[in-house]
Amino acid sequence: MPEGIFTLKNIKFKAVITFIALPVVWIISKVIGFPILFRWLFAIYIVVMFLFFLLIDAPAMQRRKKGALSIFVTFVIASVVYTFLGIILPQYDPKVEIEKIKKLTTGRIEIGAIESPEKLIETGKDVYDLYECYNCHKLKGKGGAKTRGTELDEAGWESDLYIKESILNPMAFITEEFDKPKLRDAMPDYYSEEFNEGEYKALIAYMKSLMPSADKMPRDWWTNQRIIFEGKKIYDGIANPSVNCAACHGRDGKSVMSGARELKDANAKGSEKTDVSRKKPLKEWTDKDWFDSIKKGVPETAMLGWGQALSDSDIWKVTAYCAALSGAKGMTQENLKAFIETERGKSLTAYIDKEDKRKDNISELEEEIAGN
Amino acid sequence: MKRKNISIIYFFTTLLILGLTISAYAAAQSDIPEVEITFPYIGNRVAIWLISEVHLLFGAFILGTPIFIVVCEYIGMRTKDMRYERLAKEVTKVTLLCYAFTVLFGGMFAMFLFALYPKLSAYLLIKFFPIAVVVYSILWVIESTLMYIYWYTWDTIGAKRKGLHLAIGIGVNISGFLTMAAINSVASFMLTPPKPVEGATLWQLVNNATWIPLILHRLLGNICFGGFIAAMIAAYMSIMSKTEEDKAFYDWQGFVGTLIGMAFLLPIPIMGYIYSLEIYKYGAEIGVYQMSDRLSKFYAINGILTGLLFLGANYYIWLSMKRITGAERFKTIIKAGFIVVFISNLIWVIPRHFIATMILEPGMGYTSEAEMVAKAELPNHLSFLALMPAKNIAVTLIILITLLNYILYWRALKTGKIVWGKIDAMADYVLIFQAFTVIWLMAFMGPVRELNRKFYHVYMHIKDYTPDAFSPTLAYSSVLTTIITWVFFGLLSLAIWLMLHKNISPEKSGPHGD
Repeated sequence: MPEGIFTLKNIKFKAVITFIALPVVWIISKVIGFPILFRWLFAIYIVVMFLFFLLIDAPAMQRRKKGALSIFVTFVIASVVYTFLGIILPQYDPKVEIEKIKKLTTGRIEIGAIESPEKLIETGKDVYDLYECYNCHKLKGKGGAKTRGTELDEAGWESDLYIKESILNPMAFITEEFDKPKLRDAMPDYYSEEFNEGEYKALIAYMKSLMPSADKMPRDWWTNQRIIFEGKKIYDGIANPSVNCAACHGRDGKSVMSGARELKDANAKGSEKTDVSRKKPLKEWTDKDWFDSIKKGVPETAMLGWGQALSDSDIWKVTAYCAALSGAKGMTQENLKAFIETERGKSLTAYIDKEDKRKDNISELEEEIAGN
Repeated sequence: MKRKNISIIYFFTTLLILGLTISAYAAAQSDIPEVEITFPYIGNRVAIWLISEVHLLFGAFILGTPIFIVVCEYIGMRTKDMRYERLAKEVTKVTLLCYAFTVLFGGMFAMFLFALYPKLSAYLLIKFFPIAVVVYSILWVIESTLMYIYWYTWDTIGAKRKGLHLAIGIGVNISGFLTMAAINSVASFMLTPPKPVEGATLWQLVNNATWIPLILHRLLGNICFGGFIAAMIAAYMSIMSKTEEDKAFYDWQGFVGTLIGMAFLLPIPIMGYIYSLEIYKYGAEIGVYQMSDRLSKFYAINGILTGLLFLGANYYIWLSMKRITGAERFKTIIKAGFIVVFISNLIWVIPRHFIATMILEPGMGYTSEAEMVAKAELPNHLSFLALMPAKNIAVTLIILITLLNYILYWRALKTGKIVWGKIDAMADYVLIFQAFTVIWLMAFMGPVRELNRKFYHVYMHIKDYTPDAFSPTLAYSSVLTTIITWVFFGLLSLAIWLMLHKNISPEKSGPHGD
């Protein structure tokens, strides 16, 4: 260490700056919202900067007589600093990973061993953690990042088939959010070989259990083209022969039956006979207004409740399409028509048609995955 | 070292490698009973880790230094500045002995691999037989032969036909580069094998997703490494020097070595970024494991140490400026640059959260997720600091400040007078510290590429069922890295002392200094 580094002349001004900077940076970073460990990081950097500036302003160091010893001491200082860094930074317990590896290599889950639906869901959660899905997917606030994988808190709204295909054959269809060069291949495509039957069935059961309150439209479904297309198929009576919204509300939302609500115009008000909340224009409807109207029907009108014929998930899908007809939630008929003509639109149409045909024949999906 | 001794070591080690290779190949075909060996006390993985890393460090040195040795010889020829010639010769002497160390540790590495992981070794050698055995061995023989010719004809061919001598040097570098490229194919294959592996042609196995990025990253890393080691050699010799002439020369060599090291350090973060991008493209889950999950804090150390390298280099420029008359006028701007370097490094290092994995695990010192988030995770409105754009801006700023300081240095040289040999004695220790840092960093990050594979020998293709198939803690890895660095440093220091201690006063040395 050079002599004169810790002289008053060298220290005083820098010490004053440091003693002012430390509390100022601490307070400002606290106000901005940095948690305590980050504030400590900033404080450490300020102190190191202080020491560094002492060093650069120190007088020239004299040559050491014992050269070999001084080289050795330099090694020791560097060794201690770097090893200490490796020790002081946050650590993990390797036993956690060792346990996972043991399960992945020798303790696989067999479907026959799972006794109940609740156990299946619990096992599915274990599979989720074992295969570290949280690395890309955010679930219940933990893990992942928006730019890498879908948030899964509402995964339960999707069909079994869609969830299974997303896991086992992710390249079949990529959502618009991830249809970018850097993200397209992010979802691993080897799970069809890695998972055994027990594991993927448990995982699907777990995903299906992730279904929060039915009072709100699932995240992003108002403008999700795939959901809206699926909703259209329900609306047009193609997906479910016992449900045909178009018969009354018209294919383009212009009602063809007297008394049927106009769905084409988001600003049009409802009939005087309907309750207060549904008299207002469609663009002012809450998610619950939409859902209840379809599930339970609208009293004093010909609108029946379709809760027996449609699942909650299907109700949300047809809701999304209805909103698109009126343009109440961002997506409009014009946007949809233009989208259908695009490359992506055509592949989405083909994908949904294929899924529809395959709905009752999951083994066909499994054969296709095996072929891939 | 005597010619004969070097040749004998080199000859027998090459024979050993070839013999073992052929034995492994034969063993894979025959009904020899399988015997599992566990290396005592430290286990198989650590044994391989220690030996392979020392081999890689020497390999990096002998691949990186010949590049700038030849360039220095060329500059010396053009400018008639005999300092370049002397630098080239002295560093070559050290490199020669390091060739022997590379081969010795390479042989040990091969032996240990075959004994401790016989099936994996046989699999890889069979898969890559034409490249990893035939081509690699031939290239290695060519490279070593050319290197010895290059050295032993320096004062004969080199004196009369410099162009031919330089051509031999270029041949050393080309064969060295191809040797590295050949064996990189195996290393990169283990992490990013083509999909599917079965049925892939040899070219598809070689030209996998990370082969070229690894070559580029290692090429620049090796030259950077060589530069800092050359600067360290200068520092050693400067500390030991007794005459003003030697001090002046080694002061100059320290500057040139650091300049080479820094010139090739500047693009390394970009090469590393490209390498990581290809890893992410191949398998995002690998990228996430390394940058956000278990290996994330390894990258935090990478950020801190690379920042220290840049800071050290800028500090060295500061010390260098002090011996240039009239350079005081740049003091304020350089000091401002230091502040920017610190702040940029801080941004580079800021993690998403202060836990070592993606999500909270048992034993991390928090009673709940909520407590961890409150104390140790960036809130949403500040999470941009943990993303790549912020890191890229920080690195770019550090690189720009370093470039600016070099520009200021050249300006000072143009208008002032430099007195070589009068640099602050602290500079020698800065150079040694820089070399230690780059060695430690290289030894530390090498295993990260291997740990990325998690519990696979070949990712998603051959599982690793051994008890060591997990990522060890950061603390454990740091201790091992320090041990490896000491072993390498010790042997390198021995090589420098053995080959150069007589060179301190040049008039005492013979044609080759041996």
